[in-house]
Amino acid sequence: MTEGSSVPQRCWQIDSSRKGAEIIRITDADGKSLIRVKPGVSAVIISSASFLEVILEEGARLELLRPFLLDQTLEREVSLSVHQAKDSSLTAFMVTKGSISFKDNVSVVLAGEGAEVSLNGLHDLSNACEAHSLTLIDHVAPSTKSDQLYKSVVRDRGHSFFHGKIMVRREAQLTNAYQLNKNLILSPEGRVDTKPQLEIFADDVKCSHGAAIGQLDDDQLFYFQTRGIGREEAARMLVKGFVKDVLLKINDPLLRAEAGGML
Amino acid sequence: MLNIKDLYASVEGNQILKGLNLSVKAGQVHAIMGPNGSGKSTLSKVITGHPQYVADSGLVDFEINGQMVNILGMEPDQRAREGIFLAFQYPVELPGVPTSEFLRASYNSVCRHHGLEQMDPIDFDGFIREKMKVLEMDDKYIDRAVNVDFSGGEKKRNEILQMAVLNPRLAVLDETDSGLDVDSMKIVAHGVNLLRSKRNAMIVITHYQRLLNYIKPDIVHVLYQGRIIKTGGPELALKVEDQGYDWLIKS
Ligand SMILES: Nc1ncnc2c1ncn2[C@@H]1O[C@H](COP(=O)(O)OP(=O)(O)OP(=O)(O)O)[C@@H](O)[C@H]1O
Ligand SMILES: [Mg+2]
Repeated sequence: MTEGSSVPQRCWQIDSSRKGAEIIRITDADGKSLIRVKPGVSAVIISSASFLEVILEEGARLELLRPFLLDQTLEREVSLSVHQAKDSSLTAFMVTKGSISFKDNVSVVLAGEGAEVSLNGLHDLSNACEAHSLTLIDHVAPSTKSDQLYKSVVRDRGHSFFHGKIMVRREAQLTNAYQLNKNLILSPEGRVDTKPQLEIFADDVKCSHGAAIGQLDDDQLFYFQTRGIGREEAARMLVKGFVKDVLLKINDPLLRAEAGGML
Repeated sequence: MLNIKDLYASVEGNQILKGLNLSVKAGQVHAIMGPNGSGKSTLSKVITGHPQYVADSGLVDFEINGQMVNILGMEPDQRAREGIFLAFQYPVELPGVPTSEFLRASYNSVCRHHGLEQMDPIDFDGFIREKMKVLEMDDKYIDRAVNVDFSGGEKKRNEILQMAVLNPRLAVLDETDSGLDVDSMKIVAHGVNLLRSKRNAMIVITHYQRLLNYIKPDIVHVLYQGRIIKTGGPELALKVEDQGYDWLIKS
């Protein structure tokens, strides 16, 4: 898959389970990386590689965190492309904080029967940051499952775009696909665009999507205040509460701590 | 401790309180009764400073450091740190905010203000469990998000738990009894009574004399169309229970 590419690529072949004690870290210096998880193996990986390719072989399991602190001056474009074989499982978290615009292109091919993916995003945008999350889940094989939860906290003149496409091929009967995009806007200039797209060619599928855009609620803030808690601290606690369910989906405690520490 | 003089207040441009006077001294419990929509909750929101409830004229003076201070310009959190508490008629849900964290943030911000020592999570956990025992609340509420998936009665108990944590000088209890079954009401009233002292005062808003059997008021007021139309002793509550408000409104 790397032929013809001018960017050097580092490959990680994971063939024994590391039971969470050891987490593989792939830094951005690696630029373009390929992770291949061998059949039946479980792995936990933190990667800030800009372009990441993941291959999950039969029954392989991966919990993946992609953290990006966006405080350099350049706009960034990053991507994740995943190919999943039979009964493999991926739980991925994209976490960003900062003021630099970025675009994240994610594509997941559920090629083998029973493959499952949980794709999650947490973005804390400030200044004039534009965040584009583009996801494509391709349900190719039957009995595959996808579940997406993307949440953005939009501050200042931040602008969050979410474009989530779910494709269910004719052969992919008994697909289960779920997508949810939630946004909390903290400033009058903050903006959100959210667009789900479903292309379903099989007839026996369960597919649903939802989106929500909200602001801090006056009655909630007042409730905090009557307990002696000022508006700023109240807002911090409410934001923490807003992102919490995504963090709780992270199984590995070290991974969860790392993601939580960013926000 | 609290002195409200000729208070006019509006919500969304509608004047709800129309010349209300109320004076509460340390050590007293005042009950406020009155028909639906008469302005009881509005009064509680004006005392605590909800931004939507605007005082058009009049005074709300509260004793701070031995002096009566007009609190109308103060933020709700400042008022709370000075010892004003509201047990909400409709407690607010805070998704994702654990009850323990919320209560500790609340307790510590009040302590900080008064230059007292703050509590770390471990000490606070012990402190809060004691209070919960008094209110016969299950430990599981500590980790749950504030009021989320609490039953109506549990929410009301949680309000009194917060009151117990803050031990306010002035507590306004807005229909804390509605939604409570008889046994729960006794437990909650017991919790409230433990907090009664010479140095603090309470305003208990209720529709039912039953609560006042357990939390005995010194003074009972009837609020009607934005002003207090009758003030008396505990017997006034009994008469209201018996005869309703017609006899007061017509006279
Ligand atoms: N946020 C609000 N927006 C608009 N109108 C309001 C608001 N809050 C209260 N009101 C109005 O003010 C009036 C007084 O309401 P309030 O809640 O103070 O009554 P109450 O005496 O507490 O009644 P209840 O016994 O039913 O609790 C009502 O007519 C109500 O509709
Ligand atoms: Mg009311």
